[in-house]
Amino acid sequence: MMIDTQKIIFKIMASTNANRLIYYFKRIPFLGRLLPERIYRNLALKKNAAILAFILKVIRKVMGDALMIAILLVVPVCLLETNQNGRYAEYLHVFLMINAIAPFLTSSIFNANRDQYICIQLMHINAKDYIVSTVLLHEIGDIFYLLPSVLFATVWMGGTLLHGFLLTALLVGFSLIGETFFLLFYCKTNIMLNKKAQFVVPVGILCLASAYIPLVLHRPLPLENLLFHPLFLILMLALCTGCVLIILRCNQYHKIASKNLKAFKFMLNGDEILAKAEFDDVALKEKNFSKSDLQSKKFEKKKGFAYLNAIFFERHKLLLVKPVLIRIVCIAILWVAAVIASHFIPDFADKFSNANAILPLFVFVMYFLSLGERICKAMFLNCDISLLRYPFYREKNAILSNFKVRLFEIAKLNFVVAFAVSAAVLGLALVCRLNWPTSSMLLFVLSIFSLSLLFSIHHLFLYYVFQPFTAELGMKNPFYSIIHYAVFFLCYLCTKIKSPPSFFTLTVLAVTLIYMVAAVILVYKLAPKNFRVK
Amino acid sequence: MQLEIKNIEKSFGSKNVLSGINFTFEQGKIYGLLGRNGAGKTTLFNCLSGEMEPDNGQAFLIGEDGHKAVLAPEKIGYVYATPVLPEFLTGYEFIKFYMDINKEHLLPGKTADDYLELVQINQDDRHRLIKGYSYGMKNKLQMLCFLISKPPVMLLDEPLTSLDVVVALEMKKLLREMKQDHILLFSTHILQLATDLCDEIVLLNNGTLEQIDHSMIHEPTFEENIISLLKDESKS
Repeated sequence: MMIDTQKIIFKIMASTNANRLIYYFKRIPFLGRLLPERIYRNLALKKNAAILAFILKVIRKVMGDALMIAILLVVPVCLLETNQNGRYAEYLHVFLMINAIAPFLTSSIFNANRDQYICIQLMHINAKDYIVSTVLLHEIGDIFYLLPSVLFATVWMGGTLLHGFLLTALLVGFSLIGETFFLLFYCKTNIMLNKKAQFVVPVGILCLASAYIPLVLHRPLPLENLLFHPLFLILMLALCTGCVLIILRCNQYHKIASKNLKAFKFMLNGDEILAKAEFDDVALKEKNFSKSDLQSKKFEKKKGFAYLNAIFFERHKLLLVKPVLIRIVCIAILWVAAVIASHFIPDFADKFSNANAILPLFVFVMYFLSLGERICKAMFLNCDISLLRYPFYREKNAILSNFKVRLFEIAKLNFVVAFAVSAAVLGLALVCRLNWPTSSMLLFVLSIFSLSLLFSIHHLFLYYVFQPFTAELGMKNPFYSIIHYAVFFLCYLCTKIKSPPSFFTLTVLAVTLIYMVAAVILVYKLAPKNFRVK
Repeated sequence: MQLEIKNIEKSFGSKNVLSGINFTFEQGKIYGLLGRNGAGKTTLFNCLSGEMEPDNGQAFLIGEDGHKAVLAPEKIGYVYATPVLPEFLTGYEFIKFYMDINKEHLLPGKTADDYLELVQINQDDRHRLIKGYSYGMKNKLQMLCFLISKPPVMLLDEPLTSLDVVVALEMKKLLREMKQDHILLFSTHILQLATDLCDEIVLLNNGTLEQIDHSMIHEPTFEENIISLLKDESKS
């Protein structure tokens, strides 16, 4: 039964994946034209495309798992433990802590995705058959995907091949226990625990802390004898068998599937689900507004685009103010940590003794702290996607005046963050008695604010000129991504600059000014053509 | 006033959807654009409204004084099959914003409330988010936009297809009242709607437009004639 279900699912997915592969290949400039439209009808070729898509998936999985093991296990152990002999014990410690605790962070049973939507909602495959067979197959598949990298890492760290095999099996066993835990919890309480931040965040912190703190202190748990002890292995086997039985016997899958898919806010078109999920964090919720909020004529005196944007930013206040608050809290925590550190580490403050040296680093910091893409997404989904259908909204002057109002609003939010950064850094300088000259302080603050303005312009400018979001896929324009990476790289390069602060501030000011003028001109010239629903 | 379409062509890949559309529409009449599903009705509307670039051809607006100008997007009101409205605004706020943008077209002394009264959206609903509006209310709001901005050409893409009987009747009444000052193109694949509301029927078939003889519309065999026309031409 399960195998039949998986065969059907495999066929559906093979066909979907082949179509998707062909679809994306056709979108590659020049090359895409080589494939004619009728290619979708060529079943033999599609079979090959499905096989290719499957091979690509396997390669992606194996590489992904190898990368994960390298980043989480091998690299930290090698970096922190220079003594070759101690490495294996530390590797085993980190391996156990990460793999035994991380399964309590995510669950594939409670994770709705496009495949689940297609199979259960559209193809009417029995929810229990689908979920159970997919989860079990997922676990079995993981053995094969993980085996090469775990074997390699274990042997490289000083273990044996047998240990590598056993560790792979343990890893999958832990993941099965995690799935069963979430399932049992749901059956008892009706709560999807993997979606509760108050559970996931502490578990995540516990996972990282228990894995890496002993590593830093060179005090790994002596696990070699425990992990490979026959009794422990038999116990794990019994536990996993129990888990499989629980998963097979549970009868709540229909409820789980409908809850999963409802949470997904799906639409009829399979691909739109993904877009919706991506946009979900910027969507507007009606229940957040009271009747008096909606009736108030607070902005009645404003006109046109100023009126529109005033209401837009008012209604999205929750969505926009939250990230600002999170940033301020993070800055505050870092500030307190830095003050404490400066007390205990004698030469800590020396690094900040010169405003000159740290200023370029703040280009990078401000790049990360400035809000932009999320606001642009919200603007697109909740406002522009509909209004762009009206010709008046696409007129040059309308676009420009809308751009200016929005730039002002985004800059306002980013200035709050800029203020927090300036206050934190100057405060730290005062607490550590660094005696920065007033001129340095002023130049510092001026630089931070103009960087903040620069990045506000940057995000909005890219949105207007490239309009990277699409109504269906939320896919990005390649040029948009290229420019984003280029700017990221430039910001990174700035961390290498060594120049007097006055010169640096002047450069930032000049770049901001030039960018602003160029943005306004380019938006006026290019946006009427590019700023539309694609 | 006339809308003249000259040799508009559009194809997607190897599929030729519009193959040389030539037609002249006149003010004061409701034209029913009739075609089977996928005949290219929406594509034609998208080409006219500027949402899509035609591969070839152009549309012109000829004024009462005989002045001929290329059809600009702002001269068109496009009523979509699924209404598109900014859902974070209330109906009242949207109409107020729309009035600000179209100040020059407003009737003197009219307020947002007066306009909303016109399409019978009641006081309570006016101050609710458009997100929560029913389909019919969204449709009325969209129509109201064009009552305000009065674009000379109005394209209606199957607007009545999914409305309930009461709203559909209100909309029909509204369209009949508006037709004197506009060129109205009404696309549908429902024959009944076309014969009921439209003054002229135009068939879109095999990528071209063809006007049906006016006298045929009220003949008892009209339906059969149209169906045989659509079937024959798609075979040819």
